[in-house]
This record gives sequence, C-alpha cells and structure tokens, in this order.
Amino acid sequence: MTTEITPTSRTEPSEASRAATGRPGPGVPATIEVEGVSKWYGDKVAVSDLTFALGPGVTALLGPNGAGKSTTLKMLTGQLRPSRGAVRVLGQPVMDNPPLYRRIGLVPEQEGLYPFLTGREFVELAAQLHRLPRPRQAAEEALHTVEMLDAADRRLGGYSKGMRQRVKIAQALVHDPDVLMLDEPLTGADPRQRLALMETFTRLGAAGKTVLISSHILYEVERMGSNVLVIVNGKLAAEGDFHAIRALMDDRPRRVRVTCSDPRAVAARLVALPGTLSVSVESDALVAETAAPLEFHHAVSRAAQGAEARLYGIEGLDEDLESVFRYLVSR
Amino acid sequence: MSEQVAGARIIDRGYQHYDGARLGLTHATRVMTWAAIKRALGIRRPFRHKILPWLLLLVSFGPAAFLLAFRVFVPAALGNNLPSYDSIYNRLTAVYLLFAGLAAPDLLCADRRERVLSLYFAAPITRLRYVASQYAGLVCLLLLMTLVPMLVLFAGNALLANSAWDYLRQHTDDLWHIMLSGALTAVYFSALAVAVASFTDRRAYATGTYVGLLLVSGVVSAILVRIVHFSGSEWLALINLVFLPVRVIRGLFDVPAEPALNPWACAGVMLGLIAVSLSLLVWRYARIRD
Amino acid sequence: MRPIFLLTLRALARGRRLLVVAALLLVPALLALIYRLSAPYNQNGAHPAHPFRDYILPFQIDLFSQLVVPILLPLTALIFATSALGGEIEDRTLIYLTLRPVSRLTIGVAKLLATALVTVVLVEASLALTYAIAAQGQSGAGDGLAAILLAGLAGCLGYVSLFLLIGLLAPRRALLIGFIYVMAWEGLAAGFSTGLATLSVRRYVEGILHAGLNAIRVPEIQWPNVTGATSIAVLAAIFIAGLALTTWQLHRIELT
Repeated sequence: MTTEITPTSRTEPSEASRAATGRPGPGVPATIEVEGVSKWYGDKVAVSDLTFALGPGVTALLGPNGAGKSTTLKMLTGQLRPSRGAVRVLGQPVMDNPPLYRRIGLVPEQEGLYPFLTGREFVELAAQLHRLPRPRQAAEEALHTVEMLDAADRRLGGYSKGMRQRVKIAQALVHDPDVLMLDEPLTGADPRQRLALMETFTRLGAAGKTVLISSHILYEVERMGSNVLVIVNGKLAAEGDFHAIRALMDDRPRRVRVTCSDPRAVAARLVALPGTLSVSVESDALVAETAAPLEFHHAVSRAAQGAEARLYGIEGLDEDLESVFRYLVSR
Repeated sequence: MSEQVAGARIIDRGYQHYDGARLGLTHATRVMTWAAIKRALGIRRPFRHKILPWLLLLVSFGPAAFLLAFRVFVPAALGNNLPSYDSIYNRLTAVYLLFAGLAAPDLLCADRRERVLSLYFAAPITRLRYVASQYAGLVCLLLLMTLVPMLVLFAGNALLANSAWDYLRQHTDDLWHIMLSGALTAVYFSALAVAVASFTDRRAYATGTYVGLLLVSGVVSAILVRIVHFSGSEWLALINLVFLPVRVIRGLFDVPAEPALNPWACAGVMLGLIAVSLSLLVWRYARIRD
Repeated sequence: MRPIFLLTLRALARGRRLLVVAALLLVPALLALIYRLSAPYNQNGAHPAHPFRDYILPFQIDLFSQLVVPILLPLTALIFATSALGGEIEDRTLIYLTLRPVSRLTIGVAKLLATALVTVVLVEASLALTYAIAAQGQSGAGDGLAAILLAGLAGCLGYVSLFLLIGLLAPRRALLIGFIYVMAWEGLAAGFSTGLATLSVRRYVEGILHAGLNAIRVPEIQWPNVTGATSIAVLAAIFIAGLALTTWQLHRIELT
C-alpha cells in the first residue's frame, strides 16, 4: 500500500471556503459579538466571561459535555439572558428582538416538535412566520436541501430521529438566514446524509453566511472549516484556526508516523536526533515522538538514505482536531 | 533461599457473577410493596414530596386524637353526644380521597412516564405482581389512615370506660365494624385511584381526573335524585361514588342514611366497582408496551 | 397571526383530550334529558300552568350554578389554556414561535383567541344543547337562554385568559394551581367574606347571570352581591390583564 511522500493532513479547507473563515477581519465585520458574557444559575456558573467575535464562514463550537456549549448557543439566540455581558448578532442585541430573527436560523438541540403536523406543514409554518412571499415554495426547497421531500407528508410524530433532525434543519434554512446556529445537527443522520448536510453547511459558509456548529463529531466538523471555539468548564479555552492553535501548542511534542521498508534501521538513526523523545517500532512503520518537528522532517529522508530503506510516507499523528481538542480539554 | 510472599494479592475488581442465595418472587413483591409505601410517603425523596402525604396522615388521626383529648381533659364539654365512628368516616372521606388521588399517580404514572417499566419486567417480576405490589402499598397506607385512628379511638374509649373489659364485651361488634369499614374504604378508594392512574402518564391529569370524576359524580347524583321521580329512582344516589363507602359503613353501624337504601346492595355495588377498577388496572398493564 | 392561531386550534382540538372534554360537557345535557323525561312537576296529577318558568328554568339555572360554573367550565378552560402555552414550553416547541419576526403581542393574541374559541364553542354548545333539551316545546321558552349563554361566554373568556397566563408562568404546575384555585379558592371564598370573593371569577359569572335574568325570580340560589355591569367590567378587565401579562412574560421568558 503506497502513500504519498509529502506530509499529509487530513483536513484541507477548499479554496472557496478559505474566503469566509469564520473570523472577522479588515473588511469583514463581525456578525456575532460576545463580550464578557457570563451565565449563572444561583451558585452554579454555566458560562464564565466569554469574549469572542465571529464572522462569515463556518465555526465549530466544541467542548466536553456540560461545558456550556448549549448555554452559549441559547444566549446567542435570545433564549437565555446573560447574567452579565452583552451579546450582539448582526450588530443588534439579540434578546427580545423579533425583527432580527428574520436573519437568524436555529437548529435546537431538543427534540420537541408538533406531532400532529406533517414535515411540510412544519416547514411551511416557519416560512409563513418569517413572512416569506412564497412560503410553500420556500418550504419545498428547504425540504429538498435536507432530502426530506419523500417523507414530507407524513406526520412529525412518526418520524425517526434522523428525520426529525433534518426537518429541524429545514425550518432553520427556509428563510435563508445570514446567521445559522446549529446545536448538534448531525446526530441521528446516517453517514451519507451527514456528508450531504456537511456539504450544505460548507456551501453556506462559503457563500458568506455565518454558520456556528456545536458538535461532538470532530473529524466531520474539521472538514467544514477550520475556525473553532473551544469551551471547557464554562470558559473559553481556545479560539481561531485550529491548525494555528496546534502550532501554538509547542509545549507538547508531536507524534509522527514514518512508513518505510526497514523501520528498525531508520528508527535507530532517528533516535540519535536530540529532539527525539521516543520511538516505537511496528512491522511496517515507526512512530516517533519529537519536540523538534521541523528538524525531524528534514532528518527523515537522510535517515532513510543512510539506512538504505525505501521511504513510503510521513504522517503527523496529532495534527487533527481531535488531538487539539483532547489537549485543550485536559489542560 | 525460601521465597516467602508476605500476604500479597491482586483483587479481581471486575464484573462478578452472583452465586449466592436468591430470595424468590414473594420477597421481591414484598420489597416492591414496601418501596411503594415509602415512595408514597415521600421517604428518601425531597421534602416537598413529604408535605402533603404526612399532612393528610396527621389529619386522619385528628378526630380520634381530639376526641380522646377532650374525653380525658374536658369530659364535660362533650357530654353524651360522642361523635360516632361512622360520622368520623364521613368527615374524613375527603382526606382519604385526596391521599389516594395523590399517591396512586405517584406510584403508577411516574414509572410509565420515565419508561422504566421495561427495567422492572426484565427481572422475573410479572406485570401482575408489579401492579399488585403498588396497589397493596397504597392500600396499606390508606389502612393506616382508615383503620388505625379508629382502633386507637376504640382503645381509648375502652380504657376511659368504667370497666375496660365490660366495654370490650359490649362493643365487640363495633370493633368488627371498624375493621370492616376501614378495610373497605381503603380498598375502595385505592382501587378507583389506581384504575384512573393506569390510563394516563401525567400525574396531574390522573389526580385531576380522579378528583374531578368523584366530584362530578357527587353533584350529578344530587341533581338526579332531586329531579327524577320514578319508583326505584332513589337508587340513582349510588352514582355518588364518594358517599358510597359511608353508606355501607352506616349500614354496618345501623345508622340510617339519606336516602335509605339497602346497605347490602350498596356493599354489592361497592365491591363491583372495586372489581371493575382492578380489572381495568390489570387490563391496562397487560397491554402496555414500553 | 393566522398561522399561530390555526396551529393552536389544531393542537387543542384533537385526540383523546377533545373527546374527554366533550363527554364531560355532555353531562348537563344528559341531566336535562332525564329531567324532561321524568317531568317531576307533572307528578301526582299536578300540571302547573307555567312549567318552564316555574320549574324547568330554575332547574336549568340550578344546573348551571352547581355543575357548569363551578366545575365544568373552569375545568374545560383549564385543560385547554394550560396546554396552549404551558404545553408548548413543556414540549419545548415554543422556540419555533418566538425565534421568528413575530411580535410577542401577536403570539399572545393568537394563543388567547384560539384557546378562547375552542373553549367557547364547546361550552356554549353544551349550554345551548342543555337548554334546548329542557326547553323544547314549552311555552315561555327562550327566557333565560341569552343570560345563560352570555354568562357562559364571559366565564370562558375570563378563565381562559387567567389560565393561559398561569400556564405560561408555571408550566409544570399549572394544572395543579388552576385546580386549587377553582376548588379551594373559589369554592371556599364563596362561603367566606366578600373581600376574598372579589378575586373569584365565578362570582362575576353568577353576577352576569343574575343581571340577565332580572325579571325572573329564582329564589333558591344565593346570588352574589354584584351588579351585571360591574361583573362584565371585571371579567373584561381580567381578560385584558391576562393578555397584557402574558405578553409581558413572553417578552422576558427564558427558554432553557
């Protein structure tokens, strides 16, 4: 099995979505602004002193269970009032501001729906409440986007979990909002549907919408965009491009996997490098832990040459979002 | 060189198979009944679940306690008009009714709403045993309210009489009547309550339906008795589900009720209602698929 | 407003709940039927001159005051009103109405009107049916119908607005609170001082009925000491206040 020789990264943001990164910048005004926001219930602090700004593009909201992701999302949609601090969406306060809601879409986490409505009626209701000129058509399009047209005329009470989730996404998309917030939108969808939905969200992000996704499925989230907000224990643990976050985590060594024809010989040479912390040998590859990744990368081909081994591939093992996340959570 | 390993061992903390004694279904049923009793009284639950049940329990002891206190401390105040047992039952009907209406949904509806029935039935507990244990628990509690205060009153009366033995011998009938009245009342209100509670998942609806049903039956029967006059129409008074036990009790104690109906027939109707209620309960639970 | 109104209508008028309420509201009609069939005033050879005025109408009013007003009417309003908003909060669907460019007042009005419509239709139908069964073919029939219907309507509106608000403020306990209010507060306050009784919807409903029946004496019932105009004014005030407070709470509600 051959693999490429160039260092691979499992996440390559596409050209199009690079334009809308989720981060505000010069010429890119912030669409979501959160300043010093805290929320507590009596003695229990759910979220503490959050400050961040998001712009057009896809941003992932990550955090362990109970970290405060849902609370944060609810404050961003006016469902909860911050105990302190200010939340602004599209430049306006979001609490009790119905005209603003025309431009916001929410896929809530909770499952509650109207069991006596059909899927179509439910999405049409959303379209009507948003005062769309042609609610029926808009509903058709939204249902088509989430692939629910076949089941649209069945009652919500009989829907499976995945179908309910998709219909919730449809009601959030029907009015073409500028800001879309999704709380665990991929749960219950089968892999093919998840791919289709992720494509939709990526497309929306590329088109300049602000998409904030709270999710646990990290390897899928990182396919949609690289901007992340990590919340741990109610506090913001990291924000920004997760590749850059990774680069910042230099107090932690990198693990690299080198696939070659004679791993033991190559390993022997690599162990000699001052930055190498450990090397473990497998049948067709070696895994090294190094504190100096750049030097390591330079040294690998020389080591292979010296050991007269064929080099098949080099792969960073903890470049992905999952490792970044794990690190941030455990700090 | 001998190697003495000084008492070291590694303990297997993983999943262990249980090979000990198994106590059997009767024990399980008894445990569940006791658990039902504790649950209805709010034991091991937050304080707010204890307020109403204990309050009602206290109130049910009220008349007996007051009567005895009066007799001991201020005997002149009562004179010879001691409230009879049946009149106490009459006054306390609301208390029994309310207790059953609050406790039965607590015992039955919560398990269904939280969908834990499948956990129960995964063990060798049959649906019948489950339902029987909840009902038995409720009946025990109601017996505590309908029987014990009266027995205490009876005992108090005996002790305060000139000769306790004479009193006992003269009033043995009363003792049996008390036992029967208490038992019937407890079984009756419990049966109605659990039947209603088996039809809905929400506690509030169950309590409301039970209380509403009884109240409406009372009002309707009063109206009907007033407006309908054909022979035998006084039997319409039996529609009053609340007053039915008191009719039977009055019959037992030989006190006339209004309108005068044969107490045996009333007892028959009461037993019939109990049978129907319990059948409904069992039928509902036989059909439930969690 | 229309979509929310229609949605609420559909949510309320469906399923087992509707059947149970309808069955409850048929009870007075059934009793009226029994009354007509047994015609107690025609017993023992007596055939009064004005059976409707002297017997049937008092019976109707008795039925209304003993069964409908204290129990059936508030219960119907309670069941529907607590479900209309409180139920949405419990089922976590309210977000689909509030996170829209729709004013809170619109939501409140739509919910109130839909609930009122369902309640009024059922209750008034029951009252009319009961009256029709009892009054059919009698001379002098028609007296008192308007009073009963008006009192019923006012009662529905007052209770619905009140219970809608309670459902919003305490969704999980709304049924219990409403129950206690109707049974304990209104039941007992009727017996005690008029000071407490001013906070009882039932009192004003009876006041309207009394005023509407002004020419017809119904001696057995103890009427509350309040004029028809005051009663209508108070119930209208309760209706408006309920709506205002509901709207206010919708502005500030937090949906956990």
